[in-house]
Amino acid sequence: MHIDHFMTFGTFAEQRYYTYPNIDTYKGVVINGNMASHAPEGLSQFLLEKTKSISYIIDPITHAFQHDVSYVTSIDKKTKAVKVKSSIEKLANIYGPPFSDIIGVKPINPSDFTTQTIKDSCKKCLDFQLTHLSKIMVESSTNKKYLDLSVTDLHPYTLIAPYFFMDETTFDKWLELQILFIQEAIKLKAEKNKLFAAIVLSIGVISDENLRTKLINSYSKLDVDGYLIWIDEFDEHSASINELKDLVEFGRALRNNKTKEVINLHGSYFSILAAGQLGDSAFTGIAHGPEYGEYRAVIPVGGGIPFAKYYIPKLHQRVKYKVAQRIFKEKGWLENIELFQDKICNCDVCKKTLENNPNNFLKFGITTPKEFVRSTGIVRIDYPISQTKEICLLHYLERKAIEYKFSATASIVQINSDLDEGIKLFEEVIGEKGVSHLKKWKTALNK
Amino acid sequence: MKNICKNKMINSENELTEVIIDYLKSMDYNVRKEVPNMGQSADLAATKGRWVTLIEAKLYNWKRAMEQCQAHESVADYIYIGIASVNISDDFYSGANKRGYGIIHCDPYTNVCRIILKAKRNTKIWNPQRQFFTAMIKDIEYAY
Repeated sequence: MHIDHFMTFGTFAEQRYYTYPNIDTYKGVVINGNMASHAPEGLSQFLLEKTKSISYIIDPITHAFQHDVSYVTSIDKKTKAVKVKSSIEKLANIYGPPFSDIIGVKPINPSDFTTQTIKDSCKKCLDFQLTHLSKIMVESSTNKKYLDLSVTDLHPYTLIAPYFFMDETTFDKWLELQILFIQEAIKLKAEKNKLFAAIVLSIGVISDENLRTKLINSYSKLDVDGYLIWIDEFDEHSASINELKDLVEFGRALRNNKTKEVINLHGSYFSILAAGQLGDSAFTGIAHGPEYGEYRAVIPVGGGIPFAKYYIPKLHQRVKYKVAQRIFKEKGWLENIELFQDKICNCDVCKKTLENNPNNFLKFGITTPKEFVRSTGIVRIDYPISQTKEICLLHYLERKAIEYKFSATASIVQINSDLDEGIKLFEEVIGEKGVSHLKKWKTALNK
Repeated sequence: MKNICKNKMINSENELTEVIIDYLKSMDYNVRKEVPNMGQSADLAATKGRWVTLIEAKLYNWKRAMEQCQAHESVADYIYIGIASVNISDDFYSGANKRGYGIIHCDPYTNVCRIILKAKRNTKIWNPQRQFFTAMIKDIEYAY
């Protein structure tokens, strides 16, 4: 059994992580359409040279046009005028009407589409995914000198039909249009290219039996190769057992007796378990970001102070450094290196960082204060230094790679034992709530 | 205990902090404001010799203060919550006592401060973190 490990692309500053811990750790990278439209040369170089031709998927993010215009606009610092973000504007112009007509003016609605604009924008959306990066890659000197790949070789792993977000109140409004887009995409795509339908939903849709049944019935009839799913802001660490079960059942239904691929675009260890032995391959692949993105809001909520967080392997969760340090100190695991490696982690990053001295766990939390002048006086905010951020991230990626492999290859007894061990080790220190996700995951996945 | 009087009602955490600073200074502490510790900032750090006392000041939200104090257990010899509520609830007092935290109560009308619960010596310090903290704190100026 194998679980496809995808990572979503964040920024160019993170590109070196897409070959960590190994060059073949990741099946592919998922790139947002606006990033592809905005920085195709950089992305092409990243894909061709930095990652040795990793597979990629371009998420057309057509849902971005259905939200309030404030999410796709920004204020020009000089003129103070409100303008559409350039990357989104580029994408809108690529897709053409009605996207290019409404951008920055109003959110897009199903009524904005005609039969012709569905056809035209669908074609443009698919062509964009097929050629926007591949045509640059095929012409690059690296390809011509060393790789000699054809443009077909450089096509994305799969195409994604235009899609929109649906919650319980907007399901009926958007469903028909989405199906029309997928049907159009099926007609347009070449035999050699895969086509996925993206399904972006609130958990309320999946938890509603009627809506879920209607959704499955509609999508399962489509002749697509697979599905890319994204449940809005669905934190698997705090979800209820029923919500987790509904997610797994949803994945299994889409898998259609394991004939279709299903990638969960934002999943944690729970989704990895669901994709593996314990979940009997409810998904075929799981994606996450570099240390973030195990869940994500459809309408992005950015900002906030970045905290140093350490991924605790047996808890399968990132926790703030100060919390991890407190837990480990209380358990006595920082007393010697053997205890640390046995009870916490012995990955390459932890070994290298600690250098046989558990006191060096401090390095996962080193910060530097920055001062800000507020009306009430000076405020100091503590930021992790770049080395701290780096080792926290590398440790996270090490553990993630281990999780994918473990979930796919370990026995069900071993997987359940691992969850039990986490509960036993941490419950007395962080309380029932701190380990409840492990209990809920176990309940949701075991029959 | 020495008390300090001011002619102003405490209306904000900033004002409470200033009242507590005066109180601590009167007891010969060196006091710093907004002292970072593992991604958060302690409202006040009072030092005397090698001893470090961290204080979280709240007008009335003692529960939040208790949460914030937990991180300080890694570095501080003593931990206090400075509060300006009219009354001190039994839950607050017993909760702080259980954790070994002290309470400095500042009357919001008279600005009179007094220690109503003495902090116990914290035994949960992690030395590497404490060393990092004491090295860092030297770069922060005193609050006067």
